[in-house]
Amino acid sequence: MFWFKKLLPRIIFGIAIALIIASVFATQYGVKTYSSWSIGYNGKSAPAILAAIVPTGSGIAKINITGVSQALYMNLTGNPLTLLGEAGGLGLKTVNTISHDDFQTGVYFVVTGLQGNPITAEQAFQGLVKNAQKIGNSFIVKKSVNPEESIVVLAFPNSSTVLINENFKVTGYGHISLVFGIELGIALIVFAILLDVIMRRSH
Amino acid sequence: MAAKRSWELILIDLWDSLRPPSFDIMLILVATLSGILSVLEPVTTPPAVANAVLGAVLFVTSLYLALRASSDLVNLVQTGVMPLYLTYPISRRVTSLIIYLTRVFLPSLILLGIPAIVSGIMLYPVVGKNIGEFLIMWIAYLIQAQLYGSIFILASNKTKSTGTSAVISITGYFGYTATSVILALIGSIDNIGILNKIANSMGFYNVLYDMLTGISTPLWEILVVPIIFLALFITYIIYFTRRFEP
Repeated sequence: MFWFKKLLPRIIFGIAIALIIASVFATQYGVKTYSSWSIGYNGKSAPAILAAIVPTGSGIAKINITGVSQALYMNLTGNPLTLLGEAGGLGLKTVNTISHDDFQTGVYFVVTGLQGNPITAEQAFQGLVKNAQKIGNSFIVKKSVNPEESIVVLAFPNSSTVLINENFKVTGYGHISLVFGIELGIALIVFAILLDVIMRRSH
Repeated sequence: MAAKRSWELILIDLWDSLRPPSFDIMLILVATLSGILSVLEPVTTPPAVANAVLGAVLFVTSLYLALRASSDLVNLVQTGVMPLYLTYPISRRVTSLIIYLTRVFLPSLILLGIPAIVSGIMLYPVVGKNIGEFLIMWIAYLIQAQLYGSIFILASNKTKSTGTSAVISITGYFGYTATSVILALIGSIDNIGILNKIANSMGFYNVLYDMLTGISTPLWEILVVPIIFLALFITYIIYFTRRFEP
């Protein structure tokens, strides 16, 4: 911007251009605040099923499981996938892992089978877990999570197909609106030009 | 009088260090990229906004510093501008501080400050929750940039060759960041806690992020980056004051 002679107008001009481009981008390709994922899992493949939601931000996580006899849940700090590695030490093995990630919502959904003794699985998680609420045929867990936290549900299938629905709604996020971004950008460009003229005159 | 002369030297060297159009291109680029990065994934706390945006900006800032504070500074020596700077009636220590200010501190302040302003405006409902935490994270990134900048400026003063100082600067930067990644990798594969902690402590922003999000952090982790920076910075001042021959 060689036509600007002073540093401050150059900086303000740069900010203005950035605000306009970024607010247009945010409207077209920006963050989504809701994501949902459903699968039917083969209930015969493993004695226990572990379903987890791992978000990057805060929000409300909801897991709905049908076709199981019992469901336990817990909030975890950190990544539950590392916990699964440690579960190997208890003779538990993860099989048939299915996952789905949604970058725009910043969430990672995962469902995995736990092979081994299901009683060990239950004992391994006991003390930390609570029972999920049962509504009709399905178990529902709905919890709000903070960043660096995730939610894990351990379920014991009693039918050949287990239906799992996981969804996540981002809370506490907001960005500048398109109109405000463009207006602010244009106002800053005008201000930068005026400031440059005034600063040049005063010399 | 010395203060006035120092101010003149700051303005002259700052004009060279921030001269258009390269700085302006860089400025628009980092500002726009940071605006876009801030709306790519949902970040819901101020420290997370800082990490999402400033991590990438720090990389760009480091490359800019590697050119301006390192190979460009050697140009000053080779074109005879540095001897001219040294004829100013101010002490060498003040001159060395001025060069650090105009070549490392102010460019990094601007290049990291503008993305912080842009992402702060873009995500004002999130950043507004706790501006203090956002500022702490920003300062952490600024201190990290000073660490890289002092490697660069020391390399250029010592070698006085454009190519050599650029190569040393970029390998120094790459070596530092790659070491941190490798330590973290070995630490996580073999489950060695101390390696993870060392890797974590090599990024000042990691340590402050952990502290702000309530993850327990040993005291020494906070000191690693500031101590390395101060050691390099003091070495640079002493070298420039006592040994440097333009």
